[in-house]
Amino acid sequence: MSEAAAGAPDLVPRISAAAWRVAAGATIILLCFLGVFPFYWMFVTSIRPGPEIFEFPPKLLPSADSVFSPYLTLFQDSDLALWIWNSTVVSVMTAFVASLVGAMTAYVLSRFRFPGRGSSMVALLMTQMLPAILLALPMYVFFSRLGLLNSLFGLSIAYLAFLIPVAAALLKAFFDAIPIELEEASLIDGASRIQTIFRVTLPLSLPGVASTFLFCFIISWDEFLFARMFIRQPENWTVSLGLASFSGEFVTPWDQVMAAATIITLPAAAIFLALQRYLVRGLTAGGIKG
Amino acid sequence: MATARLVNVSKRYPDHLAVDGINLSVDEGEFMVLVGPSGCGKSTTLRMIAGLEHATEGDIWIGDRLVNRVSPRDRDVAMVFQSYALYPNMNVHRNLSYTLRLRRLPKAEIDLKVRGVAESLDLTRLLDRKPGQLSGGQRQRVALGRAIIREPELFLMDEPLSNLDAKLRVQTRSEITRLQRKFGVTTIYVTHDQTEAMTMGKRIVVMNDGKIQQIDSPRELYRHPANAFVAQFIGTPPMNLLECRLEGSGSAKALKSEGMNVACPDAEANALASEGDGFLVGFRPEDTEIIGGDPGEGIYGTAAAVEELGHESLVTVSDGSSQFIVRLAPADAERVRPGDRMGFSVDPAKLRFFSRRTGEAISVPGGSAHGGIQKEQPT
Repeated sequence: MSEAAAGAPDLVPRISAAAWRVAAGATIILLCFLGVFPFYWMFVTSIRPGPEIFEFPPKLLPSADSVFSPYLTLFQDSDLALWIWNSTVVSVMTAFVASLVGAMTAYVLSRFRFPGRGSSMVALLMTQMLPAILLALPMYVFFSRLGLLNSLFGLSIAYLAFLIPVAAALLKAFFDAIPIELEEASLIDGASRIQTIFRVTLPLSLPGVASTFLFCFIISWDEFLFARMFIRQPENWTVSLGLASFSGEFVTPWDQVMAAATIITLPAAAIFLALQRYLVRGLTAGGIKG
Repeated sequence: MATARLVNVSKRYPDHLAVDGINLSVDEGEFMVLVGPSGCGKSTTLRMIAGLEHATEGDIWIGDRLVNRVSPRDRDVAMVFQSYALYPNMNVHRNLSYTLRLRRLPKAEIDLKVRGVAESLDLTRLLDRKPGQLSGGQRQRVALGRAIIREPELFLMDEPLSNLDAKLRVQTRSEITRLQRKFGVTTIYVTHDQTEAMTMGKRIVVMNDGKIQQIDSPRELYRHPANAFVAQFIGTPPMNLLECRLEGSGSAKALKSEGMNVACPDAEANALASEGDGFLVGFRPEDTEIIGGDPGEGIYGTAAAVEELGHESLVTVSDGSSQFIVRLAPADAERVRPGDRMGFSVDPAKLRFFSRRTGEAISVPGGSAHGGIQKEQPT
């Protein structure tokens, strides 16, 4: 009796700690489920035999007679491989140039003080306040005069117009977080400004550069509005245009749409997995006492 | 090793003047300390010597080179930062060898030097670790090693101990002094901690409001402060400063205030007489002796607080309009209770006098208070 009484005060916090862990675990599982379920549903729908897709109530698990024919049909009857190639070219080119130019802009804004610095930063943000559709028409006219319509290069330039300011703003925050003393130490140690950027600043801002690259890649990969307006010829279609082309007036082959969606998600997921180790923050821990 | 000279150097920011026309000469192999309160311009001065800030006016010389327009990488200086500034993406070996790799030294030579420095700083077993895996003291040693390894003309240290705990700070203090003696490199060391300055510097530069207040040895700064600021900045507790006036005539002149009646030293009388509206008299807390509490010749007041420090006690005494602190042996302090009337005698030779208007020393026996300020022109 007395032992139980002595143990009771310890027991209460232990129970509440366990309850807290269970609640936290359950929340994490729920959030993961919410994130993963659309992808799961997309894949399950793509392999479901046609009539099953519209069954009600829907079946959560794939049925025994699942088919992979929509995938075969896609590669045999559509230009999916070409659309993926076009999107890869546009997205990699856009993400690379946006990250590079954005990094240069961000470094200057983060490290140098000059007249007009404040208004430059406001201008960067202002570009994000205009709706894309507002820019689309003047850009169409402009691109048409420059002969940049129907070209992947032209589409990439259109994306860069609104992604470079975003990349610069994102990267500026990363550069601001790198202590300036590290660069000063490098300059005193005998490095030039360029050597300092490549040996100290960029390695420390890799998480920022990686996430900026990924962000620009995914935006370019998914983009529809500008692609729809600027690209007419089917051989230059990107995946979003290709996917939209499945929508027919009378029939939409949902199994193929879902199969195509599953396939075009894979490159973005692959890039994410390749970059994920750089996305982990905390690389600068320990350099500066603070 | 090189000398360093600053000639009329100023640094002006759009909103304030950080450094105001300072002149400073550091001898070859000297350990010079810049000390002053926050915002006095000491770190800005150091950063100008390093080339991280441009001097708005004046000339900076390292050895016989005018370096105003020379980039930091070409000044051949090494700097230890308050925050250590170790490259977090590199291990200790690569942090130490960074400067050597930039100079494209042969790999074998780099490795030899790194191992030599690591051994002298007890870092050998840490060479593969990243800065994030080191303790504060270890990071500090890596930062010192990175400065030592390049064998620079000049060491610059910007409050390198302020992030260490009290015990480690005392250890590292003597370690830095030992290393500086061993390598004999001219060193300029910035700190806001006057104890650090007094224990480390051969000569100390006291700065305030962007100006040099005094350059002198620790002993001279303590004994003969050039002005009231230095008197109160150097020493813990600081020098007591009491307002008083000169009374009497002929050879019987006395320093008088509400709680003070002290015979004026003859040597000072003429200079003090010209001060008219009064002046400040200064004395160190340890330069007093208890005499009885009855008014007579001496400084009198009421004990306001007693602080026991173990080996000594500090008694705060109020003389009505102002307060002063005296240092007593524990046995003497034991009998003191707050509210007691107390009287003290002060050795007249240890009294210091400062103008009430300007704060400058009125007369300094030995005459060295201003003698330390150097205004040399480069040759």
